[in-house]
Amino acid sequence: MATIITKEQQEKEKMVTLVSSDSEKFVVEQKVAEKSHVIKMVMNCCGIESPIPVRRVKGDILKSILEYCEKHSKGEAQEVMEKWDKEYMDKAEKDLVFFHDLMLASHFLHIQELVDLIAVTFAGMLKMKSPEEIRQKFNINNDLTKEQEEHIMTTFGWAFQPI
Amino acid sequence: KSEKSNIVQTEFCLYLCRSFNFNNKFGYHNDHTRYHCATDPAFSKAKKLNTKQMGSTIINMIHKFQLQRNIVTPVNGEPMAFSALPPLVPFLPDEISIQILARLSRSSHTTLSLVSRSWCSILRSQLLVALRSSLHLSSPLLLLNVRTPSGSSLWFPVDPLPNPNPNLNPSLPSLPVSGAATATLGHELYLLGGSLNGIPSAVVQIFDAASRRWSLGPRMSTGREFSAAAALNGRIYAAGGCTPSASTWAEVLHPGGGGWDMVPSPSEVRERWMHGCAVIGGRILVVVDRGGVVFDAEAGKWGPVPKKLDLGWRGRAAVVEGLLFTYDYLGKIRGYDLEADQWLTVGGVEKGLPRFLHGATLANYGGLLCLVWESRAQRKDMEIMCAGMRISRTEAKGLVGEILWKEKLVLGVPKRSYIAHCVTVDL
Repeated sequence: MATIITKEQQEKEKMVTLVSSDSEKFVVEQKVAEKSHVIKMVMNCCGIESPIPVRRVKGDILKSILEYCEKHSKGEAQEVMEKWDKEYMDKAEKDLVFFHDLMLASHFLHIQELVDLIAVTFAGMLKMKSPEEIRQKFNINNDLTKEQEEHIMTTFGWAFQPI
Repeated sequence: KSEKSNIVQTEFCLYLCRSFNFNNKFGYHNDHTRYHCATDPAFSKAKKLNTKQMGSTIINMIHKFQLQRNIVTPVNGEPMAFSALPPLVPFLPDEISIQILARLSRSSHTTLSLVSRSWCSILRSQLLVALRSSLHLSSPLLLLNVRTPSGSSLWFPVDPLPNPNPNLNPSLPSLPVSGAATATLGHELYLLGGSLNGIPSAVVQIFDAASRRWSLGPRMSTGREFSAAAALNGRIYAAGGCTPSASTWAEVLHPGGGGWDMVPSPSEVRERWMHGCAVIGGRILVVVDRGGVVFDAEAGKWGPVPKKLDLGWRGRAAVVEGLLFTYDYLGKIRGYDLEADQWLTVGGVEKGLPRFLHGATLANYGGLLCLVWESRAQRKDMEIMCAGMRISRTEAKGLVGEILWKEKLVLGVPKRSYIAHCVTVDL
């Protein structure tokens, strides 16, 4: 009997509570939260007894991130993970505001695998685009003068071609 | 109350972790930050403060470091502080935008540079190079040095894939040396010595392939021409090319702020003119007119080169997959296995390559053996061919080559020019 209680206690101890900016609470396993380097360091120095506030991340984003972390803490086969990652990104990519928040949050929480995944997906959006198309898509102002453009072409590159 | 203080501490920790992650993300200014942290009086004071005060002190310090983060890269020849430019993408912090840009292939950099000044600036920065290198996304770039009949030395950055034709504005080192030795480290080319107005010079010229600019490095202890140069374990070695009696016959440079240090050498190995130099498995191999030396950098020991190697090595060589490649007296490519002390012929390439490869230059192009030679086409301009081949070992202890690409390079240089160097940098 005594051993079972200890086991339950151990299980309980491994859970940690994260609080989003809109005060939503998430109770996850420690190994899931550890996927975030920042939360890992916080847990190391402050323990997991009290809830950890993640002030810069909203509830829906944190939920999605924890979903990713949970999947990635299971250690499944690489092919399964790649397929899952792709579906996860396809879903996130549809809503640009959500995608943007997800990127900021994963960077803030320092989840390197997710940052990598998002950066590769984002980079994919820039492929095969002309400078003008990129400027339009991301609302960037062209502050290069004609001479500077020419200078770039002559010193930096070879023949102009789309990516 | 204790819970409240716990939350303050937790928030502070979050901030601290976040901020230091930012500062440590790029090895580029790691040492810089560490140095300033350690010398800043606020740092030692912070140790005595309570959690809240310490938090604000450290936040102030971090802001200070971020302001120092000036990436100075040239646009149109003028140095420009990156921090003075608008953000790369308006709604994203730059450190995230950089992560995205790092993932795009180098062949797209020209197009991306034309988006805005900040894009152009970041794409040429050391920061992006360091990030790409840490993500193992660097790819090789050929640097081709052509010497024209009028004696000028032109450097062309060439990317055989996807576009073999470099633009026709080559890069010129600031000092017109001849007979200089080359070594490459990461994205930088080191051009050591060479004669300047007929006198061996101690000058070190560094070409940064990211910004396409030349700069001067720390001078060697002695003037050298036709010396040996090699990059090994992040250091640059130079040997010979000076009077053999000089105690500084061999020396080593610690790049990134260090200077040249003498490498002790026994006088019997000291030769004047070096014909070829290569690095295999932690050893630097140098051939001279007759014989040559091997330097084991870890043990600091010098020894003679194997006789078989000396007999078959014609000067120009490249090391690919631990084998030294050069051409034999018939102009055929051969590979030398140092462990087995054996020359191996490369089969399977007879059809794709000219029969005589005398005068060809060789380079290791990202694990491929890259050959560059002058074609005999009857043209007004010099025409250069460039081929990349994968080398694999056969069961019968031979080598077989597979030509993956073969491209014609038109550099717009006059006839009777010649290729003096062909090296690769990682960018």
